[in-house]
Amino acid sequence: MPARTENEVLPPVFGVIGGGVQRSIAEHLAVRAQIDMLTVLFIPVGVRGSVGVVVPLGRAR
Amino acid sequence: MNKPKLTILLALILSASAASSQAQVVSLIGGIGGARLPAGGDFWGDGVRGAAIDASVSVALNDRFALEPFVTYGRRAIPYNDPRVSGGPPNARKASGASSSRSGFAPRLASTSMRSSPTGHPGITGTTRSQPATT
Repeated sequence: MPARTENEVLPPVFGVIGGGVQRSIAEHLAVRAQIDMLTVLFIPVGVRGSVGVVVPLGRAR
Repeated sequence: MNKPKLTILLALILSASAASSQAQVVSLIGGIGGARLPAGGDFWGDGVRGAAIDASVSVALNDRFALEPFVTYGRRAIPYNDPRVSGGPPNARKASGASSSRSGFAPRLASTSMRSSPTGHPGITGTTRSQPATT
């Protein structure tokens, strides 16, 4: 059997609720961190976290 | 459900709202993340545990809320127990590259966010599975 690649979409729908913080470190640069809880039917089933950088575009208010 | 006209209309309404707010409209966001989701049996199958990279665009609607669709991409290795495939190395594992996207209202400068999406996590949807050749 030859090698193959397949694509598939796997349900279900997960609800995500979480929070995070964002801090500006320059005029056009900020860092942010967040953590989210994955839920199914409002039942917590998993967790997800991330850290990243934010680059605002355009004019700062 | 696939309603492109409705989607475009909503996008235009939201964009008009963002423009009228005179906020700093667009921000680009990139980062790394990780997740831990136990196996879900008949509900969602294999679990997810691993790192991923994130990218998103934040479109401000006003000083407090923004629309923030994002995409995550990660790879994972899970036991190769697909019943549709026979043969292969005895301890073969399948590697999946997975990506997902979602959008929702995200608070700007945020302390809390609440989002509901059809694709909560890398690996849940849009899975690409590369399978080794078998004899």
